[in-house]
Amino acid sequence: MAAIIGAALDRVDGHAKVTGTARYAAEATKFPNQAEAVLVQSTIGAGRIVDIDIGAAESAPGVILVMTHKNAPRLASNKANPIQPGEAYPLLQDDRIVFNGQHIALVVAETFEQATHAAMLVKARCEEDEGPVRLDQALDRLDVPQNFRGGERSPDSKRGDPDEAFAAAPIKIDQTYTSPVEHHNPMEPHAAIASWEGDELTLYH
Amino acid sequence: MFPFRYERGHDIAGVIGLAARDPSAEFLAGGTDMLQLLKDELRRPGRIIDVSRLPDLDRIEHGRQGLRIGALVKMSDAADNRAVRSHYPVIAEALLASASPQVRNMATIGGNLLQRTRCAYFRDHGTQCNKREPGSGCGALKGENRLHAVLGGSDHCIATHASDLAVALVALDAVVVTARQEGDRRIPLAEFHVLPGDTPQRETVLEPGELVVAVEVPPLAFGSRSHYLKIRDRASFEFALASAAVAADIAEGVVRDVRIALGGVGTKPWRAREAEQALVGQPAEPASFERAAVQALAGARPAAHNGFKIPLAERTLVRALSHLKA
Repeated sequence: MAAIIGAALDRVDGHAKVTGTARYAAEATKFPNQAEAVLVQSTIGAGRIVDIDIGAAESAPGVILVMTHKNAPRLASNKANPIQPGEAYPLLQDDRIVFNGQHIALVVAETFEQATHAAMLVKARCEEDEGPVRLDQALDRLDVPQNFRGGERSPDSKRGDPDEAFAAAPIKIDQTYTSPVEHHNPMEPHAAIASWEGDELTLYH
Repeated sequence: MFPFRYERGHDIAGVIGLAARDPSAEFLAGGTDMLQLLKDELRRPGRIIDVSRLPDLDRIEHGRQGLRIGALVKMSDAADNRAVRSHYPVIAEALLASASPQVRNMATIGGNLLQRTRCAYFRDHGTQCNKREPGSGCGALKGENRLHAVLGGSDHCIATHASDLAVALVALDAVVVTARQEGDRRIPLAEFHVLPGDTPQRETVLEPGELVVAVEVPPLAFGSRSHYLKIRDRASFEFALASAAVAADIAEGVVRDVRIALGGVGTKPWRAREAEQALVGQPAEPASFERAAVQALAGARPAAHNGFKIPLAERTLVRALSHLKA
C-alpha cells in the first residue's frame, strides 16, 4: 500500500486522451449508411415558439429529416403542467421554452457538415417572457428542499447569534466575495449512435 | 458549415486574380481563426482560396532596412527567430503570450492581424451584433461587457481587437505590405485597423481580394529595450484584459524616446501617442510612468462592467515601463 500512496500512476487511457486518439462512444463504430443528427437550440431563456420555419433546412443538401415539436413523436412521459423540480424535461413535445439553449429541433442529414449547416437554417420566431436570468433575481422562487437530511431539520440553519456576535466584534471585515462560473467541459462529446436492426435498437452511449 | 468551393493557390498573382473575380472568396492560411468562423457560419464564403502554400511568404529577413516577416510565417517561428528576439523582444514576447503552442505552430503572422474579435455576441448567432449583422444592435453595450473595450468604442460596437502581436507591431510603427490587382500597397499598421464608428463590420482598410504578404518593422535602435506585458484572467491560452507594448530609449535616468501601445482595452491595437509625448524628457521613474499611464487612458469610456480595465491598463503600462528601466 505504501508504494502506491504518493506514487505517480499512469492512467490507463492517459496516452490515448493526451494524443487525441481516444475513441468515445459515438466514434467507436461507423455503420454503413449512418446518418448524422445536429440539434438546434433556443436562443431565449423563457417563452414560446410562435413559428418555426424549417423550409430552408428541409431543402438543404443531404437533409433527411427536420424534427420539431410539431412533428416529433409524442413521449409517454409527457405529463400535464407544471413540470416538477428534478423531473426530466420532455423535449420537442410543445412550444414552451423553459431555458436558454433548450433543444427545439433536430436535423438529420447524410453528413455531419450537411446537418450542421441545415441546423443553422432553422429559424424560430419566439415570444419572449421576462424570465430571471440571475440567481439573485429568483431567490424568492427557488425550490426549497423538503426532505433535507431526511426531514431532520430545515435546510437553513444557524447556531448562536451571528448578528450580535458580529456587532460586538472588536475587528470587523465585511466584504462580499464572488467566484466566477465554472463551466463543466467534459472531454467526451455529448453524442450517441443509435442502430436499428428491425425492431431491435442498439444505443452506443 | 456553409458549402463552399476550395482551391489551392500557387502564386500571388493567381490568388489575387481569382479573388478579384469572385467577391464571395476568402483566403485561408493557418486557419486557426478562419475554421472557427466558417464552422460557426460567421463567414459564408462561396470560395475558399488556400494561400498557405504560396512560395516565399514564410521567410523572415533582417537587415539595415529593418525586419520583414512574411505573412505566412508561423507565430512560433517568428517568436523563435534570433533577430526578432534580440532586436525586437516585444514582438517575441507578444507572440509567446498568445494562444497556445499548438495554435502558434499553425497560425500565421498575416492571419493574426486579421483575426476577428472574441466578443461573445459576435460569435453567437442568437444575439445582436452590428459587426455580424449590421444594424441588428449591440448586445454587449447593454449586456455583459466585462471583456470589452474602453477605448475607441462607438454606440454601435465596443468589441476589443484580440491580437497581442498587433499591439507590439503598432508600437514599432510596422507597415503591412499587401498585394492586389490594382497594385501593391504599403499600409502603416496604425491605419490598417479602423475604429468601429457606425460600420463595425469593417475592421481594416483591406479591400476585397487584397492579400497581406508581409509585415515590415523599421529599424529601431532601442528596439532591444522593449517589453510586452499581458494581464489576463488565467495565465495561459487567454486573451488580454489589458496589455502594454513598450520600447524606450533611456539614458542617464531620462526617457529620451518611447513607444507605447495598449491591448485588451481598445477596439483596435491602441497606440498611445499622448502618453509617449508626456513621457519624453521625463525622469525614468514611477511618477513619470504613472502620469503617462493616466494620459494613455484619458479618453477611456467604460461600460457597465469593464471600468476596472482603466486602472488595470494604467498599472499594466506602469509595470511594463518599470521593467524597461531595470
